Amino acid sequence: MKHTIVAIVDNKPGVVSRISGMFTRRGYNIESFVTSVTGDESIYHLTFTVIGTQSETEQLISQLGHVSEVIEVYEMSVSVPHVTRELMFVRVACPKESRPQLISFISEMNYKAVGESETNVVVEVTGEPAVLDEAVQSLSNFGEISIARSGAVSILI
Amino acid sequence: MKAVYYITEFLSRKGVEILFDYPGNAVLSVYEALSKSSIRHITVRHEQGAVHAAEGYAKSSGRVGVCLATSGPGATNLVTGLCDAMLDSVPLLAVTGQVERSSIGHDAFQEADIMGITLAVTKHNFLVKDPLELPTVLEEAWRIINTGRKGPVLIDIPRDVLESDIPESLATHPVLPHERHNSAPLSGVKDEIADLISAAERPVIICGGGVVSAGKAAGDSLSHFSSSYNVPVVYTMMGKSGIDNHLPNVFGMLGVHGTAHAAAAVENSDLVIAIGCRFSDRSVPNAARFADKRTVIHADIDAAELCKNVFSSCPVVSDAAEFCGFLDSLPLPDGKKAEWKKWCDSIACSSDDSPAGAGEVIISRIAELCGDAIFVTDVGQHQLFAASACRVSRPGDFICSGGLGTMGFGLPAAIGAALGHPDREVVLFTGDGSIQMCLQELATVAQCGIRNLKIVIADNSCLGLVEQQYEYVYPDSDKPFCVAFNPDFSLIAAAYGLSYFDVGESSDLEAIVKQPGASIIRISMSDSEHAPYNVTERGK
Repeated sequence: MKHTIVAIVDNKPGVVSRISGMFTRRGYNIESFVTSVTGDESIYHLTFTVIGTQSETEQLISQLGHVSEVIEVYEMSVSVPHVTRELMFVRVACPKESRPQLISFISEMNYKAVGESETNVVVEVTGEPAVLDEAVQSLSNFGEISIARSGAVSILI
Repeated sequence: MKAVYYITEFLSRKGVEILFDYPGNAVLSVYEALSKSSIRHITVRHEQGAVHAAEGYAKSSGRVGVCLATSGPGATNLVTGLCDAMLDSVPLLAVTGQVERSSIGHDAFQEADIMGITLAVTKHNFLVKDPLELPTVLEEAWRIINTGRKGPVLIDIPRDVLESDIPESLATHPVLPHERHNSAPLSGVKDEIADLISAAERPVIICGGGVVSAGKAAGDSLSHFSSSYNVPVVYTMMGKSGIDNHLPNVFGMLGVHGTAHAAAAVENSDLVIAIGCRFSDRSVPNAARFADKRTVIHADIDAAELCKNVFSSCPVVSDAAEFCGFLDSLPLPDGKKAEWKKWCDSIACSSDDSPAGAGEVIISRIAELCGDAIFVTDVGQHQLFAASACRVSRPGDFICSGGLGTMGFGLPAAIGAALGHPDREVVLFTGDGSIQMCLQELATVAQCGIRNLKIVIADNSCLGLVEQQYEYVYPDSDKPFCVAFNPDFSLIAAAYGLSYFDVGESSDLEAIVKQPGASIIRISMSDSEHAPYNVTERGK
């Protein structure tokens, strides 16, 4: 099961290495790790998507407490009001003759076509991770795809 | 003032009287500052000796152990000791020199990314790239070492930073780091704990290293509570000196290498109160099922240890002194004392351990004769014999490498304990394998004129515990490695100016241990003499 965790940390040299090293050391399964600047230069906003059980997630949160730069940690569970978004590029290998159907589909789904070449179309999709999962499935019907996902960013409301 | 002088003044202000070091190019300036300070520095013969000596000093005294090493190989030689300190929650400060700032990242001579290397083996580490940050870094390091679960911190300082000036204003008024506290109050679960204990028919207390770390008050409260109500107590290897071992309701060490009585107590318990212990796989081999048969109250200063290995229905983030004090204040129902007395008696009547071999008998007798000593062990069968034989009553009077199990820890740690307690005898139990890992530190014993140290070598000319474990897993295979060759330890002793005794069953052990001065006492042991090893039946 996926869990989203946000950590607010001091922007000190090595803090990202320290935290990612802790994840490795403890054997946690991290799907994504996004470092975001905030309005305060001295603070980073980190969003992790982890795969594991609830108790593993609670243990991870406890272990984050060992890192002295960590200020606050939140698990973005259903009971915590929050917003999560992710950005994805999908490069679709789509010959020119089938391109009108793809462009129409992009428009219909409120995706964005952000780049085209002779053989490919790059589609930008932004939304909750589940929306991106669906987009991957549906765009793959138009040709071979390559994807690059940014990882989820989450913030408390 | 120069940064190096600030560092020595800072350490003096914090009460550091002794540090352990090995010199090198990157830290030459530190020696200039040390020569003008009141801090006694002990130059060892290998940086691993320095960090283990700092550990032994810290474990025996409860104070921060300090070590100093140069850049590159000097710093990397600290890694095993830092990992050891991390696992055993030892308050320790390691200061390392680094190449000049302009050389960092250029693979300079004796450059190593010790920050990156020690990320996993320190509670925190710092690379000081700006001399103006040094005062705050030192204060922050000291705070991190000593708050919550204690542990090692490394400060890496480039050579040119060490030789830089710090403005007088900063030197006299450093910017102190702001503190963050994460704690969950004990008050929220006091009633629940009281109810669980009152209802228990067969409670057992597990005394862990956290009780030792919390100081004498924790152990005194625990001893008083357990004696007042006849609550059986068992201890982990790290928790042995947290409880008075002489008490009749203390049943020894639990776990893979524990006593039969401790195993019986835990196996038949309906309530376990674990204080300052992390339920390592040595203490509780079947952690996943431990809570199936009993309720577990788990109190630890580190929230991350609660429910990490063993499920607890009542986890408590608490300092051990506070928790033991709370236990000692509990009013329990009338009749519990008598009820639990019968429970204790039933444990005492349960099966005994296997009879001791000849070598173990000698170790036990030495431990008995040296009753008021600080006992230090290395890692191996001798350690387990000593854990059973030594009876201590003060925190820090039994020291070993618990979590990492570092062979070679013993001699430098014993040096640290001996220098930290010049008025007390220190007895090191070691093996022929372990002693040779840091044998060079006998030169430190000689150099410092250490006299309050007895080094007892249990010599079975093999790596006894590893071979015992190999036999258990591969009973039909031949012995896979041989370390039978040992030097003549009498010549080793003579080379370093130590007295030497070869002891057997008929030796006058009392006369030998009472001989003044540092000595090596060798016990010839049979390689068939095995330590307790309970992986299937006990410790469930």
